[in-house]
Amino acid sequence: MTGSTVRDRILDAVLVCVEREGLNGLALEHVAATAAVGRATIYRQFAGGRDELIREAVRRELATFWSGLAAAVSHLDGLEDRLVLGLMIANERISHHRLLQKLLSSEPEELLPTLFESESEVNVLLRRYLLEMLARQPLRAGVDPDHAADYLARMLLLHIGSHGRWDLTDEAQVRRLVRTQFLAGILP
Amino acid sequence: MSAALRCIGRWGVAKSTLDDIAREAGCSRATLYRLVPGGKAALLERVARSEVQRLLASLEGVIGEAATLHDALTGGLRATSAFINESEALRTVVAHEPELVLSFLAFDRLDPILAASAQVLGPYLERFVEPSLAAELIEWCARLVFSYVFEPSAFVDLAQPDHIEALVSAYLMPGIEAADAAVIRC
Repeated sequence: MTGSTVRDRILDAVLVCVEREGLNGLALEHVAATAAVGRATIYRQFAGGRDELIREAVRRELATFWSGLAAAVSHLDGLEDRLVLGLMIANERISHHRLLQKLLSSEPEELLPTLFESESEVNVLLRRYLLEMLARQPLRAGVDPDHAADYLARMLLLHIGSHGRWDLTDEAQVRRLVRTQFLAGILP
Repeated sequence: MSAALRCIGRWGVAKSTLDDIAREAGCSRATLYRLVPGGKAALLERVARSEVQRLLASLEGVIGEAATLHDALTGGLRATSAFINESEALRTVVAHEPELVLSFLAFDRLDPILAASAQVLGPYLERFVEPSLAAELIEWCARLVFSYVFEPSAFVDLAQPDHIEALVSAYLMPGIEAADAAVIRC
């Protein structure tokens, strides 16, 4: 068995156990039993124990979320179209993510710090992605692509999970939001 | 409440205990519990809410007196930045435990603040744009403040007036023009 599959199996087991017992109640023995490995194997893979297990499970979920989002919009060419569809899908997936919603209502104080620990990594990847998108099209005169990518990454994250007065399931509204607040200052 | 703010300014949120706050306020822990059942979390929530209200009230004048939409937005952002800078408690939190605020206002927990901001301040922009765009603009600014304050950017520092000016000119004003709603005067 390769290292990565053992790790994945253990992290799968973490999600199962958290779903069942909550983050606070997560017990290493239960993870080991669910993954059908010994405790020693868990410690060999995740030397930091329980905290590292949770951190790595969150990090893997985030990576899956964002790469899934990138894949879901990859058939579209334009930045505007990708942002519109990306925002809609992201919000739909978040509201249907059972484990996330459950933890947000039952144990936010356990979940959120771990989630935000990984957010700076997300930020870096997101900015890089947006910068590549920006390089493909003409920008307004005087726009600095790095600044624009930083701005867009913030705007995206600010609208994921927090809809404010927008109905982010309505494509017409999302397009208006993206055209005015996201892109008006960036694209000609 | 002001005792809680003083404690937070001195030690941060995580290290301020109810005992500290009771001592600072010159009352007993029991009195504190009677006044704010629900302990530290409830107290923090009340303090946060009253600070947001205080900020919004101070912005009413700034935005209400502005001559143009551009001035209303830059003035509002500048006053918000000054408000944060003048609050020892907020300065401590921004410097040492920003993730605490990010968590506190993560996902849809930001929505009540956005709604309150739009409700209080939106009407002052209705001199310049139609009501729904006014509310959108206030929410937009509130989101940007939240982001730039608690997640510092290499490009925008709201403590610098010229950064605010650039943000308004480069992003907000084009967005308002694109919203093609009736901009009466800007």
